[in-house]
Amino acid sequence: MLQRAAVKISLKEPRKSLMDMFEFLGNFGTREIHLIHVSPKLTAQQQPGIEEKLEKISKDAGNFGFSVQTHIRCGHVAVIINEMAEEKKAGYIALHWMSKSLFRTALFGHIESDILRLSNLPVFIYNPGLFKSKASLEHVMYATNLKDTDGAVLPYLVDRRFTGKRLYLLHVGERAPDPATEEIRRKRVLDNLNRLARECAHAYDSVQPIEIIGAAHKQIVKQAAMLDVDLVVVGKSEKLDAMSQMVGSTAEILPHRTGRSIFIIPVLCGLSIPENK
Amino acid sequence: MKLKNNIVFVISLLAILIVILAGIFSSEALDRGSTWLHDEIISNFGWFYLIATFLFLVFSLYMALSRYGHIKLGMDHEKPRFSYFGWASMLFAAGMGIGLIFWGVAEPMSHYMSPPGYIEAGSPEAARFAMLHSFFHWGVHPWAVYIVMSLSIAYFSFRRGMPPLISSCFYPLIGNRIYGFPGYFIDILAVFATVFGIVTSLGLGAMQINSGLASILPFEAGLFSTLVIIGIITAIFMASSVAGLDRGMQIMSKSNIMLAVLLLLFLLLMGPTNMILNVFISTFSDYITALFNISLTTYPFIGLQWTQDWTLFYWAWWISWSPFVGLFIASISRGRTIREFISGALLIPTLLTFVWFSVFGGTALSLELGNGSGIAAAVVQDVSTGLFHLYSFYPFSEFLTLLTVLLLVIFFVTSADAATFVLSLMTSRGKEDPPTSKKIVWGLTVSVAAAILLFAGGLEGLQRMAIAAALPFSAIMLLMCFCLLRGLRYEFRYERNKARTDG
Repeated sequence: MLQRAAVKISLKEPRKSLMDMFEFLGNFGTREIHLIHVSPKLTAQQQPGIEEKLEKISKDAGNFGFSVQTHIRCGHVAVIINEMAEEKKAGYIALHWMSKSLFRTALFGHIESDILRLSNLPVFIYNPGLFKSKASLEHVMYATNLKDTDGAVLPYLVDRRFTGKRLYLLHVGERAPDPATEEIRRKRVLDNLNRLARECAHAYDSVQPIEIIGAAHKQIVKQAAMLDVDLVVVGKSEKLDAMSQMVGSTAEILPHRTGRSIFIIPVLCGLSIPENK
Repeated sequence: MKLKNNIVFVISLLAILIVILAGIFSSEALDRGSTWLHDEIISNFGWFYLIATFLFLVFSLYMALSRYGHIKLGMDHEKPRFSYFGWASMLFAAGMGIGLIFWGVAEPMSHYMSPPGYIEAGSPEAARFAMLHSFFHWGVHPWAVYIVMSLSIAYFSFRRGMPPLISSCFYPLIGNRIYGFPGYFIDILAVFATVFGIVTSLGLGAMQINSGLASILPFEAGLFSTLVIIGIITAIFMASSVAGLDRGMQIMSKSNIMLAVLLLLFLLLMGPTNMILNVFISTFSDYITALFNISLTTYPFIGLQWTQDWTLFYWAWWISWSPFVGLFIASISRGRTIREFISGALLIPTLLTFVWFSVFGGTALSLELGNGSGIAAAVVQDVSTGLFHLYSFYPFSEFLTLLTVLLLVIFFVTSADAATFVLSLMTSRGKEDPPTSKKIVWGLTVSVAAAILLFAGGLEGLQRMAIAAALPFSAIMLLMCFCLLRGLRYEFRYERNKARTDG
């Protein structure tokens, strides 16, 4: 299910970082990648230069053992990337995260965010953090809401090609209004986390449930930094409250804040039955 | 007595004694310090009071009209402990009663004589302004302030099973830290505001009772007679407090409301009835039309000083009163739904207040505009005499004065009784039936402090300290709104929906 990836290439990515990303994709068991470059405006003069650059990247990616195809398209970047990914039957979309200032994002928008918002496929965002590179996948953190996203995310987490060693199951919850209810809530959350841990236990060397109170997007960032995880996995729910509809869901906010690679799996994404580890 | 269980009691009692001692031995310094603090707060944070109070009103309306409206302040099967009449009487007695008697004539007349600069004093326009702003200051806003406080306390204590304390409302935000320093700090601040407020009210109110009695009885108003009045009131409210809410407080509140309504009807029927009804209808219409506008206006270009002296003073005063009134109202509202509670607390006392102002203020203005009765001039000289001056235009004026003094005494007793109950509750970790010993300690502290400060001076300084406490409290109350919303949202998301699917 993660064997085929649609990789968005803007041609502005630093080469070293892009290579690290390709190496990282190997951790998901990916074998085939489609490098997609979309430009809002494409002239005949630009075409050969873009083809040449893509070809070079394609060769580099091939060195990691991938079967690589390149595609150049013209149009709305986010829409075309999503369409191409579906057309090529990709298991997920991979993006190299490029940080932008708040002002630039507000004025010009953020293409990666748009792709994430529009996508019904899982989206992997490679973001090793400032001045860092990371190609291995040791520690994975799944931030679960213990609701509808578990059903979509768990098959990926226990997939045998997912090579993480240690899994943290994090639930960030809302404190109940009184101590007695809070105790019940915590017990229920821990029970659910332990159940999830049991379901994932066979696929990792160790699984650790963590229960925390606070705002989800803040605590996920904090815990990811504290535990120094290589990948944050989150589900993307379609049921958004009014505030999330305005400022974006937790899954949409996280890439801007974590400074870590993130795998975002929409509840809606179609999923073939995975082969377990 | 374990110190840990009584930490709020010990710290607040000691701190209050220190401030009161400062008021006795250095009343000038207290006066200067409190004036500076009060002026700084009102001039720098006045806009904040306006916004906060308006938000409390919006929040109350939202709570009443939203899906949370049918949630009960108690368990689902619980029924209200007090009848509608008993509940509304106690609401009114604790929240407004005494102030209305004091200001019923004085406030419209004060605005009439000294409106903001853009209105000519003593003109019909000033009369209209005076009535509108009397409605405004005593209308839905103060009750919205009380509602926010009492609704939060009632929800977290009666529905969520926590002790009826202000700190309990912060559990969704700070969790178990409510049992530590942040919780103690909030409760101690509430005790401060309540004690300072009730001490000044008792002192100043005793002076008004004294001058009322002196106008009809053959004695001269002086310090000794004021002290005797404080002593008598203390004895009555301590007896009522020890008797408990069900008997003492409820019976006195009901009888007082009946007396107040009788007085109101007498003045309505014997006075310029048509004029009063016209004043009521017109001012009510002005109030509804201008509600949004005046709620958020400080008149920054002309009239800012007036707004600071009146509106902002009132808003700060209501907020500083809110821990006491809020806790008391919460304790008598168990078993009512949120919608029932808000609509009752917002509409019943407000409507009665509007009628009261129309009758007393409307009559005074009518007399003043008609033949220059001199009531306005009397109010300018001494605010507390306005009402007694008005009676001189009615038959049985001495009887009316006596009735008013009786009303004042009972309202004072009910307020002091409620305050003693609330102070004991807050300093007993929210025990529903606080120990009698604490009621006695607080009752005596309040009365002795009022008597001593009356003698030494410093009552007004203490009042300004109470108003200063309103600033942190308005921020605390905004957080309470947030916590209450979180609590209710949790209940709906995780408990109601689960119960529905389980069912």
